[in-house]
Amino acid sequence: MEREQSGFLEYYDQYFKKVYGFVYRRVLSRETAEDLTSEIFIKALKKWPGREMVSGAWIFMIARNLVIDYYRTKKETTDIETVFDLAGPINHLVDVANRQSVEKIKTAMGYLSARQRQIVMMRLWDELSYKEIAELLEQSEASVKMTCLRSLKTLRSYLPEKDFIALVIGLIILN
Amino acid sequence: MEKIEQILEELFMIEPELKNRSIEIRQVVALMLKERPQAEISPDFFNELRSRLMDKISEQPQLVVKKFIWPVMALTSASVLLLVIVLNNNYFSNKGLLSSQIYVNSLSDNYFGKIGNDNQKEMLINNTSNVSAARGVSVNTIPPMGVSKGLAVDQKMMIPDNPIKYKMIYQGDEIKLSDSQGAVYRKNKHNQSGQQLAKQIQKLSFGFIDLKKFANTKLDSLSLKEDRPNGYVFSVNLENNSFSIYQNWEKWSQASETIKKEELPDRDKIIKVAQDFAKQYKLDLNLYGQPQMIEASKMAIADYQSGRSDYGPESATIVFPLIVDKQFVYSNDGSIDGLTFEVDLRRLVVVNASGNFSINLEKSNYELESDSQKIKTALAKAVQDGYEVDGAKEIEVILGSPKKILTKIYQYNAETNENYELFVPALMFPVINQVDGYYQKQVIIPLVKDLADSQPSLVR
Repeated sequence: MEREQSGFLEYYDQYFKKVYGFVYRRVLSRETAEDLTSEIFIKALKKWPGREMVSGAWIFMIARNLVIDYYRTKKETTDIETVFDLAGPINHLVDVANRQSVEKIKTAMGYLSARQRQIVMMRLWDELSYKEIAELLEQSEASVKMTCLRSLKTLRSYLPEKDFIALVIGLIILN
Repeated sequence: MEKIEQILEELFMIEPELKNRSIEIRQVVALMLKERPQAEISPDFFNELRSRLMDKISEQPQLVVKKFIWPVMALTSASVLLLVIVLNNNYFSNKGLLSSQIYVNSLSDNYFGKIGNDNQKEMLINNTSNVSAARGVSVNTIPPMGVSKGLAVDQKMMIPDNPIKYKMIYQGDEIKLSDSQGAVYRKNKHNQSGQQLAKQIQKLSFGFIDLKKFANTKLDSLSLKEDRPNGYVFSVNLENNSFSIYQNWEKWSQASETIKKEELPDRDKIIKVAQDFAKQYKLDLNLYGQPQMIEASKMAIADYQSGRSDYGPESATIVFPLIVDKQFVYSNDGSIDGLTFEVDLRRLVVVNASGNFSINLEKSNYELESDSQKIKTALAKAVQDGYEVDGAKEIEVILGSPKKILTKIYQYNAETNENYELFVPALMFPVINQVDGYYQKQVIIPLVKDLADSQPSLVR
């Protein structure tokens, strides 16, 4: 099995954008996201088993653990599932524009369980495949799919009608 | 919009009824995508991190070969290279390139063509005649299988004064041939280990030359020498996935005295020397079965102990038998194939060890002989087709019930001008009586059709 380190740089080129986005959407701070992304890839390099040995979810496992560590250090939460706690104070360095963006859906997202939130975020925002999410959360792919579906139904039910209509109109205009 | 459609399509596949509410779900998905926090990436950050990672990679210990020591380093460079590779890449870990494994690639039936072509027959005839020599008797007294059709006739072999002819008598249980098909394995000569290791070495920084400039490289072999008293040399051949470990003779004193009879160690002790050696060097033995001493070594020791021979054996050979498809493989000299250790009997140390670290096999099914009578005929033919001498004394060789094995034979491919090693299903009949002058402990009949009923030369 080939385990060359130049393969790592290709891997970095391929996954950098997704990993950075994954982290950013959980910390909502460019500075923090850059620090954590650096840490993630340096750690990945140390562990690098070769391109053939890593699945699509591999780097996200490292990313997820480091985000958890980050929040534990900050003592704001001890569980990754509550990281995206839209009601709570996240970080004073949070980028204001994006904070406003998530505020719009925070109430509805609050009706989802932590696991449901994770799956919805990973599928719709991080663009991970169901297979990758299943591997990352150590669940079956079928279960992940079903959870995603139910979560979207729930979201629809709890999104305020007026806000929802306004957003849909906005979407139509934007598109 | 394309992304929304893709996500919706996935959701409809999970729950087709959802299509009735597609507008609502579409709106939720669209909203979620719109409100996704935008992660703007700084190209500077991307490049900086990439540079940092490159630095980290280059910070790994590297070999820098100074120009002035280049000639001196010729021998040991390979050792250091190997060490660097091991340290940096865990190359020899269980999942590494040189891990101990059997790789089997299944192919269609009869893929290797006809087994038992004329060239192959001749080769087998020659091999067999070489190994049929009887201990303490003239070579020519043992029937050199098929030799009457080969070179030996033209050479006017010397007829001994008291010729002996062996007759195979089968006294085992009824031979049951239940399998109409069986797997034949062919050793794949083409492996990638050499290319992959060469890539690793090309990354190392040699001060006087840039190895990266060499294209399509391949490492053929590598050796590692222990520069210490009683050290060993490790050598690996990446062409055929084999390795050997042997005493670095510069670091060993020569034994002067012949071992005394009473000093001969018992068999278990000799085997333990091989086992301890394997343990010391962490040799992966997962391809191999329990170790055993080869017959020739057993006899040499027994003869010396009993006084039949004045020659005190210096070493004995221990084999960890190779297991393919839950069967042992027997070489064409009748000995078991595997990882071999030669043990110095006086000093109780390993003289050398050799074998394969991995085996690449191609597998193809062939029709097997199902007629037990043909097997018995083949056994008898071993003698009938042998070297006939009028008045030769006939000695019976009693054979017991066979067991299924794989036997190693060679096949010549005229197109590629190459010989291939095949592992063929066979029956091995043990010799159950003591026959003076006959030291083969088994007779092997290959089961592949055509080989079984027409190849007395394959019987040993």
